[in-house]
Amino acid sequence: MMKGLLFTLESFIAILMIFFIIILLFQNPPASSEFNRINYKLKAYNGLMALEKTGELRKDAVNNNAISIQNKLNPYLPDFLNYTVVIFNETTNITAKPSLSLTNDSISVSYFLAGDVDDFKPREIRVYLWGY
Amino acid sequence: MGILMKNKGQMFIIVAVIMIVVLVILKTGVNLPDIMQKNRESEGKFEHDFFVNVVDELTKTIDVSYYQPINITNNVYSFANFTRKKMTEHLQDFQFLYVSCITPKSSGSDTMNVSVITMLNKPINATLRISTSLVQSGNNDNMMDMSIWNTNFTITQGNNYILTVGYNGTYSENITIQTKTNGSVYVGFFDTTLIGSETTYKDKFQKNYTLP
Repeated sequence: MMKGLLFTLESFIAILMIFFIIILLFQNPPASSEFNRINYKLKAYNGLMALEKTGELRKDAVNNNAISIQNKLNPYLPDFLNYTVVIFNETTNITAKPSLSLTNDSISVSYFLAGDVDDFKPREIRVYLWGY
Repeated sequence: MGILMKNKGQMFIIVAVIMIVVLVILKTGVNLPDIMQKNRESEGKFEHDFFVNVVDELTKTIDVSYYQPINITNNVYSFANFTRKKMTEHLQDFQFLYVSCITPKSSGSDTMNVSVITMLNKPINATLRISTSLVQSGNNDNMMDMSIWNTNFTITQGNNYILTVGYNGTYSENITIQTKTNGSVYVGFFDTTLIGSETTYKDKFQKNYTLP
């Protein structure tokens, strides 16, 4: 009887194993980390484009207001993602760059602006993203 | 065979493990081409949007410099230089040819100033020819990369002209100029190329402005 019980238990375990693996494999499509990186870059870029359409990005860039851009980007990016906005002029960064350690896997996205009405001021808005 | 019959339960588990391994391999193998294709599409879309941003802002340079017409062409040069340097940092190659024409607010015969900006990664032999009644032309035999060539032609305000820009005997584009009597006109011709990781993006167009 013990043999029979053992046999049944082992079969049951085998069926459970296959069942759970099938659920795990087919529940969500597996995503490569590289695809996620590009996805996050696109989200940040689309956020910058949306702000540019409203004119907010341009005004903040010309006024070197990286904090304002950072706050306005918040709704466009996932909560778990860390990010910092840095503004560059033709020669150097005007606002502080993030101090990312060598272990941080980070990506960045750039958006260029020529300036605002009657105020030619070339700017690069660079968004650094990490923590994905 | 006897051992196999004795350990039927364990055989189930071993077969289950083998099936799991096969399922995982199949699942990963089937999705990998999809994932790689999505990667490429996303990267391509990103590069295209980036190119559109640069081209739009090059045009915007004229808009933001509108009330200081004397600075427009130099500002276009500065902005193109700025974005080009940044793109080089991202291992992208941005090439740019720009021709601007500006006429003063006057009537009758006057001078049209023409400037050519080249950022083509090579020196060029640039030529200009304008369809005035007596054809006028000019050339710059050894126009270095990242340089501006300034020249001028005599025109009659109110007339329309075709300015042909060429270089190295292989490139030729026509720019239409509609001058105005007692009106200052600015025409900008853009020829932009971005060589990305997998695709090359090009755009060529002309913008016309009546200056204040």
